Amino acid sequence: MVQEPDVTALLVEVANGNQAAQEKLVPLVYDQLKRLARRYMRRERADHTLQTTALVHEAYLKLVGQHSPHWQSRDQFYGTAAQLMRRILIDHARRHLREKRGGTQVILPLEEALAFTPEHSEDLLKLDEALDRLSKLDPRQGRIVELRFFGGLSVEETSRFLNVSPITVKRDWAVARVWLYGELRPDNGDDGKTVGTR
Amino acid sequence: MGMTAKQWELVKDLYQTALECSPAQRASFLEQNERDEMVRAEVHRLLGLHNRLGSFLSSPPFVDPRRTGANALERLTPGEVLAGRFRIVNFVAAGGMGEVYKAEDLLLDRMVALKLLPKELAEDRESLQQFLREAKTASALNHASICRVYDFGEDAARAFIAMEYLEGETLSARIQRGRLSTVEALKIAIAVADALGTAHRKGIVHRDLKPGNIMLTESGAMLLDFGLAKYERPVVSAEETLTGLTGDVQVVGTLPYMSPEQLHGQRVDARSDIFAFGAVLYEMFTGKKAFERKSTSETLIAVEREEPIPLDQFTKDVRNALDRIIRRCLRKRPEERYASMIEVERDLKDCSELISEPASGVNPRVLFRQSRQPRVAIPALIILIALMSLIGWGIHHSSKVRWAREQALPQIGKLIERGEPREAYALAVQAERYLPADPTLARFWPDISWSDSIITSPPGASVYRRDYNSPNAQWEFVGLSPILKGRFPAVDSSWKFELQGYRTLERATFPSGPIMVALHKDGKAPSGMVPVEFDQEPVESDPFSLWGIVGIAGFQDLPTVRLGKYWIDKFEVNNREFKRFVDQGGYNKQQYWKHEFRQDGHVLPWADAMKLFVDKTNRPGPSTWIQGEYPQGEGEYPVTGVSWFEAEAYADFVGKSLPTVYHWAAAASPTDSASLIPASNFSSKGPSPVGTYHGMSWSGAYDMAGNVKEWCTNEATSGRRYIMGGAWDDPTYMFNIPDARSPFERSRRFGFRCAEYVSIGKEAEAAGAPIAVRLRNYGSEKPVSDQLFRAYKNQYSYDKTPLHAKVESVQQTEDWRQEKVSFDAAYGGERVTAYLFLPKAASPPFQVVVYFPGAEAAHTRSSAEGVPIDLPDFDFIIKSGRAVLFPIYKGTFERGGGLKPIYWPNTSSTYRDNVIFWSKDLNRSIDYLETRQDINPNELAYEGESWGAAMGALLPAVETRFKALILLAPGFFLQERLPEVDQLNFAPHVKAPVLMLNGRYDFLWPANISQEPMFRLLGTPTEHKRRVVYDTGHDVPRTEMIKESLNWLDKYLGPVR
Repeated sequence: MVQEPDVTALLVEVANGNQAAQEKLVPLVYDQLKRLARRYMRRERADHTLQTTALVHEAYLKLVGQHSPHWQSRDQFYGTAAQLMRRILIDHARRHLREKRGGTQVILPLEEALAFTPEHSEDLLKLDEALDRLSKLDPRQGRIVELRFFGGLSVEETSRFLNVSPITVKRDWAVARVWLYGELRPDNGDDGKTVGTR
Repeated sequence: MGMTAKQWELVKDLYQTALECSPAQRASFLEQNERDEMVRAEVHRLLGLHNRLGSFLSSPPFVDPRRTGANALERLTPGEVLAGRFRIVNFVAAGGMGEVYKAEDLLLDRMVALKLLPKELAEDRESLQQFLREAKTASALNHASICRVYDFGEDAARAFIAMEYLEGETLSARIQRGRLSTVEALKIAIAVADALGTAHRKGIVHRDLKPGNIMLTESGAMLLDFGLAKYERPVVSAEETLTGLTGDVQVVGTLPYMSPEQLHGQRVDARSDIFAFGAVLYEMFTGKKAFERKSTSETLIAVEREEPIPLDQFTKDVRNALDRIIRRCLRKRPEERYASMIEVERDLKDCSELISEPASGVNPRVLFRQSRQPRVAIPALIILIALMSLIGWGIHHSSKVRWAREQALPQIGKLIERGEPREAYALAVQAERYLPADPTLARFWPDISWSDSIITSPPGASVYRRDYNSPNAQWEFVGLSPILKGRFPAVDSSWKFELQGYRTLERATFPSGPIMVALHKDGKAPSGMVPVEFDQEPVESDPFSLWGIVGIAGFQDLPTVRLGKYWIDKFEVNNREFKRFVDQGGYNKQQYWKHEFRQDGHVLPWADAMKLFVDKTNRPGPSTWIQGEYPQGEGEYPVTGVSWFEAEAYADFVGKSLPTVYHWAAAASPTDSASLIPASNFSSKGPSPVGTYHGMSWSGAYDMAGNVKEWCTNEATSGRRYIMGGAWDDPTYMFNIPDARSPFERSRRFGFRCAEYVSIGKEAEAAGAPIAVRLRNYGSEKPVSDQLFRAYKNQYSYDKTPLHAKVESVQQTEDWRQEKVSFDAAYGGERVTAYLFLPKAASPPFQVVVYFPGAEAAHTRSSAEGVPIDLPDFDFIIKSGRAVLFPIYKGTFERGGGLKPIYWPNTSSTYRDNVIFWSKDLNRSIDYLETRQDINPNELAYEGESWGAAMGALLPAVETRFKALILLAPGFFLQERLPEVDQLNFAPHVKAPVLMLNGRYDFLWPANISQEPMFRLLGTPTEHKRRVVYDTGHDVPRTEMIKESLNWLDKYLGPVR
């Protein structure tokens, strides 16, 4: 087996703000995530589902072991993984997007997603694009969505990772949610009084 | 959006504050506080959206229960105010129904416990209404011993209940600390019985009575969570969950207290509470659970059948009276229990009068002294669920911990090595109870378990599992779906899904990824059929998805067809069913016979054809019948002696169709041959009644392998029709080889099953198209002459030009030094890259093995990703002190295009060119090895896996420097290709000692038509040829691979110095 670099040490370095360590970490995490993602794409029966439940956690376990040295490092890990997770999910969604078949295709809303399935591909891609737009306006807010939604970080973890107060995280998150909702469901969003908001 | 960052900041701030105003005041609030019209309008718009949000984005695409036991996204922060009335003080625990917080009721100035409802419940309006109704009824249970429900509310899509805030400890925590005295226990019991009785009188059943739901407070025992059990979301509970052989179970309600009727999902009434009450009593008095056994399945059996261990074994001061009370509560059948709690309470009271007070004069009031904790205490508050940490067990368990660490862990490792993952799993689960966070244990899991989700639609189905090869074992209850990140032993498993109102579904896993099952309403599901949803989409990294039909020889090159959803008969059509067709004059009604009777070039009129389809006494019917009847007692046997026409007519009669080969194969899954075939009817004396053998395909259909062959609708050549699966007297590989027969042929070995298509679109048409597949017949084909061979071999020659070799990079591991090298290819100005693994366990010059990978290498883009995946095939070789070279052959990894299956032979010149490229790459690699001082090129071997192993019948005839060959799961390709790249012509010229390791149930290269001819035709002298066949599919057991390979290398390269 190729020598496993000391991910734990890397994480500590990253937590200390070492940029070079971060750069070393990313490919490892990405590697591990992709490797695990492949496992789920082998020989499926029904849908190709990317069961992301396992992925980040397993990647973490595999790379670091269950023995996390420091919650700070763990936050760093999950924070980094969040970005990568998003990339993988979007790639996956693109691959799975298929043309609608005469009305029988139902796009299930994201909130019903327990596991990511092909029906949600379109929604996920729309979300990704909307998130990009939001990030242009408010990069930190976009990052919060990425960390919370794709990375599954809690408010406390997000606030630690980004070094902002939990109240800020909650506020940004709440607004982001409703704004993104409006982007994904434009027909629902009109209360009749919009004034040049697009 | 046209907004500036500054404006956006304002929007964010305003939105939050505006939300806290009442809707009526919002407009004026905005007017007053913000002059910028754009900002105002945007806030307004967002507020409008707020109501429709529901739980959008409220949970990430995944939920990891291990991290928090609850939905981490929505954890409330202290100081937050819900519904303008409840201010959060702190988080208490992740309860079965979501999170529990301590909060201040600002309106009534008191402390409350806030229970947040799971989002799934909150957004399902109907369930929510029902839940609220029930909670209201429960709250009307005004009783001193029932935890009061004050209020319910909603705030930003989180629904919650405000309950009486209780301080004390749960009965379960109390029991853990030590057994209760009889007096204490009776006091609690009577209080609980009283509360239960009151509730029952009002028509409310608790449904989830257990020590964890009984709080011991200053003022006495309190019952929690009335009637709410069915809204519980599964959470891992350290104190109550059984982790048994069924896997990492997330259990709703807790097994040791559930009555038999509850376990079976039957109607639950007050008497189920009485059962649970009995179990609680038992535990209070004995300190042990009445029915707990080592595993979940055993516990279930115990609840259902066994009597609890008599009380007097445990404690001396328990009288017969108590024993009788408890026994009567715990009767298996509800009608044998007490009819009501009133009676129980009365008996208990009688009992307490009999038992005298302890002489030490302990004041009963003081019984709850332990729980009189200071108000600000942190531990021992509302403890419902602990997280994974079992640290509290402390000294009590240190010996168990030692056992786990010193004995269990090493044993687990040994079991894994011995290839006994099932036993290892059971042991690991035991060990985990005492070593919950142990990293060594954590590293075992991937080898012995698989972890995934089980999701049904709709959710809430009861999920059961049992070992595939123990068909007579009890079903083990796993939980209610969805089961997120469940963990199960890595063995073939059968599954059952039950949901009231829906057709019970069975599936098999061997094992695989997440299980997604759609359940169908009973009324809507055709009886006797199983649903199949099979939708293949090409996935770049998965070769299988690019092949037509996987697992049937010759079918991998067929066009891929998307099958959508359909139903297929669970069993082969049996005699009894076919009789209806006969009795209702099916043979007399031309309308069912829709196909032309084409024989020897001309078409038979219908009447003439019917004369052919008669039984032994010339009556219309299958050839195996007599006088229009099937042989006596054989009603459940598959109908046989039917031609394809008769099968089609029957299908028409019942409104279904014969399956296409695609549909048949998708439901059967020939790649599961290794698991399916041993459990099926092959090589036996006759057909069996349908479903006798437990060989169930993943889809839930039986006997697709063996028993009788099954007609499909597709036409082969010369008017024949495909008939699949193999028959009872066939050798096992017939499951994976297609057969086609005259549609007129009738045999005791021929039967069929039907399919029903949900939609007949273009897909079904494409699937039914004629299929012409020619398989090579190596029994009759002969290799070309030596002369011709030499001419072919010339096409592989190359000039030994300079290599210009370079070492590109070096990596070190504990066991080896990994060099990435490159050198000039023998063609086209290209460079060949290769990975050279140099062992640390020996000294140079090293023996060396050159590796050729399997088909995946052609589909993986980067060698950095792909090489580690193939590593297990040769890491043991390196560790044995030998070097391994892994060249990147043309068309693989970075040198490839990704999607095309370049390894499948065909008659194109591209394929021919490729084979020659591979050969040259191999040659050059060895030329390179010869330049290295640290390699001994005279001790050289070849190892190939799957595709690489198949090439091992060809390449070593050209590259003759090998001293030994190791071929893992090889076979002769079954497709046509040009003679100069045909294994058939090269195999006789392979002379090196060759080791072939095969799987008996190999679905790509069936033993008889592919593996055996190869072994026979290899030119190696017999005494230097070895073939071992295992009971596997297209793979080889790992320990065997290691053992045989190393022995082979020791023998032919010599032992490592």
